[in-house]
Amino acid sequence: MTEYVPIEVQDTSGPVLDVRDLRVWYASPKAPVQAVDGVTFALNPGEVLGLVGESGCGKSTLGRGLIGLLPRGAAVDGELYFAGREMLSLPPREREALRGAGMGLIFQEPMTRLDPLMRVSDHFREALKAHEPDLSKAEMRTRALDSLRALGIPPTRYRNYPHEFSGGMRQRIMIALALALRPKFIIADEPTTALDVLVEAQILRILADIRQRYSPAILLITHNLGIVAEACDRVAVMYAGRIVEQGSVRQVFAEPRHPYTQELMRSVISLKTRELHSIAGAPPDLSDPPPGCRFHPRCPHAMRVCVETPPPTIDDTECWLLDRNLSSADSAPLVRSEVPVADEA
Amino acid sequence: MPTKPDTTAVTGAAAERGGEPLISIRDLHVNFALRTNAVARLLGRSSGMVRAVDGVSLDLAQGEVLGIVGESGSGKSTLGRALLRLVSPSSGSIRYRGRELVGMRESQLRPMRRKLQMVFQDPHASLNPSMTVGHAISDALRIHRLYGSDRDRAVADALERVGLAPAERFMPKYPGELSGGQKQRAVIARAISLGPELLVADEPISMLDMSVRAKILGLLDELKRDLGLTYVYITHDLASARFFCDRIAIMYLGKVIEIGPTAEIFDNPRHPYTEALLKAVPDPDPSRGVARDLPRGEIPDAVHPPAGCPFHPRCPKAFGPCGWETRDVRMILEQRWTAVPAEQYARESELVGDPERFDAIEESPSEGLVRPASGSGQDLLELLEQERSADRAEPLWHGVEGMMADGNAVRIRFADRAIPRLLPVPGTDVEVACHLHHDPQAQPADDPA
Repeated sequence: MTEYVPIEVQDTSGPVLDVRDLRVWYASPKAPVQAVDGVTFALNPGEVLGLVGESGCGKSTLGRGLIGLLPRGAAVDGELYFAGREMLSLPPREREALRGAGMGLIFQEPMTRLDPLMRVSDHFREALKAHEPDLSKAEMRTRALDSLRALGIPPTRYRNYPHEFSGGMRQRIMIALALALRPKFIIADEPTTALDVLVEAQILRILADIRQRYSPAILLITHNLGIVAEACDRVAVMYAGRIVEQGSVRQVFAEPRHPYTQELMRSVISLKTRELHSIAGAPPDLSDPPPGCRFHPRCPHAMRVCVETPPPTIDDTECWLLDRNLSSADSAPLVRSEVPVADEA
Repeated sequence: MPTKPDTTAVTGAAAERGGEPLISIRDLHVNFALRTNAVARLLGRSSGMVRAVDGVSLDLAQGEVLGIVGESGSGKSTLGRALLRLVSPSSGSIRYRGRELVGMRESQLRPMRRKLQMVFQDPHASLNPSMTVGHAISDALRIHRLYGSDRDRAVADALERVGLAPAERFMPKYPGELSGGQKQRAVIARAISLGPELLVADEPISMLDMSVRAKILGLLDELKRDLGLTYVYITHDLASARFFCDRIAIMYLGKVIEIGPTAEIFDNPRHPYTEALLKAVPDPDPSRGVARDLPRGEIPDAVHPPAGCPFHPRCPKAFGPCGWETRDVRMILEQRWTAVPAEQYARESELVGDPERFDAIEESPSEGLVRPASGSGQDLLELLEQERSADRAEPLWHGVEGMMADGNAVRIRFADRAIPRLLPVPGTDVEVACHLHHDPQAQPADDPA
């Protein structure tokens, strides 16, 4: 079991999480896979940041990298400040102590994360014991029941086993478990993807409610732009290991600047869809990403410069289109053959 | 780019008048027995049963796209599989061009299957990983007795039709070498290679990335026009159903609770469940915010479905005849306990005792008798009355006609209940099963089964 190390909060006014140039590689037989390649963002107290992108863009790896749950064989580089403290340079034991107490994680599949042989009460006892061993049994019970009640789980179910709950209830229990430790920062990785529409809406409502009650900062990883629009304050759009655009949800949805964000929004099938749209081509192989801008092979506005040089970051958007000082040679449209249907994702 | 199909096209109801439907389903039931141990079966104890499809009647016109929409456990996939006889219906009738499929022998059924094909949700699980794409399609054709150069041509045609061109490039590929979208294209190629009339597509785009979904949906739309296919599109995703379907049937716990032309269902949902589903779809519009007034709870246990209307315990608009019973009272108490302070919960739960046993004492359709674990019937009655006055808007109380202490128990009298049947709404092509739209007194009080 982990030893409890009190969190020294060095700075309470600044962002909860400050990530600078974070990189994560995986080993692979061919070449290293750069799943996250130079990501920079900050998360303020009580803020919900939506992280969107297609599968394989590195969004889940980024989430795991932040919380220190990467598989063996992954390498991390960059800077990661949590409550003003650099985490990547901490010894593993201290990092582990912070996870749970300071940071919570909510997974996609609650059933695979709850132990089928442990009652709900045992799950709470284990989590609280590991991170706050000074609590008495009665205090643990109160804390657990408070947390469950906030998520609409009747206290009568406290001694039940995970299989006695429906999928939505299990996800609520997962969230309650994370909240019982009063974390400052929660990563929710596709928390509603396995759930039905109505239950998904209930969980989103709960996430909105717990913000008012506990005000943790939340990183909500999802592929669903509808969820981002409803539940997040800010959004970061990820493509091929990089955040290509970030900003307030209102601003990005009203006026997406990066061509990938624009294309992604057009391809969503919503209740208002009258015409189908899709993005040509497929996301690149991250062990051998294209040179220059990684989106250039699929970009409808690609220019000559996009093939050669990685784009600058202007207004939180990584795109050459925003650079007004390009020469006419650089900004000439890229000539290329059309992507055949067969090469699509 | 494909655009939204013209909604003025022939809808099912209109087509019915014109000619015979392609598929006609009447009172279809699919029951699954629950597994119990051998001893219980030998002793003749009844094992539980799930009515996955519970009395569904539908007509499918040629060239129509019928959406079957519901949450998991609604029976939508079972209905789709039953259409192709991949599961055996327990009773009822499925007619394909006038021929009865229920009870048909496998040997007679096989030639029909050429005409009735299915596309599943997970393209990866639908393809044999050790078979090349060409081989997989060719194998399907071999089973249906197509040989020689005809078969090779049919394989190539099917692949090119779904956009996997040139076919020679894709035939030798193994599923592992294809992207998710390409795999689903290969699965669709296999389904259309036999020249089907009906394609049952069970969540064909749910597992795909959002940038690919539009492509596959567009492909299905294109195939419909080029090959004159009829679709049953099974999904939980209302947005794609709205785009793709001519008619939509909403299912809940094995029953169709509302069916009608797509535009009617979306512009003017009549069943409170349909209304709730529409409200719950996350919309990529930041000005909307999180949906608040949504039904509570989740789809109930299908082994013991609620009495009356299956949706009534969750329904915000439920009233007297919707099927209230004692276990709904328990639900209200559990709901109360998520809100009251801890000490009050401790006191009240001691009085009520194990809520699992709360409804087990005595129950008839009109009355329930509940006994507290400790304390008198009067104590429990006071608790219930307190809850009633605390939340008068709670739909349950419309269905409770009286409560009285009876010795050490409480007797609760419920309003007469009726099961809502799927009936047409006058002046429209919509049918709905809800007491808000049809007189409950004209409907059966209990299931005939």
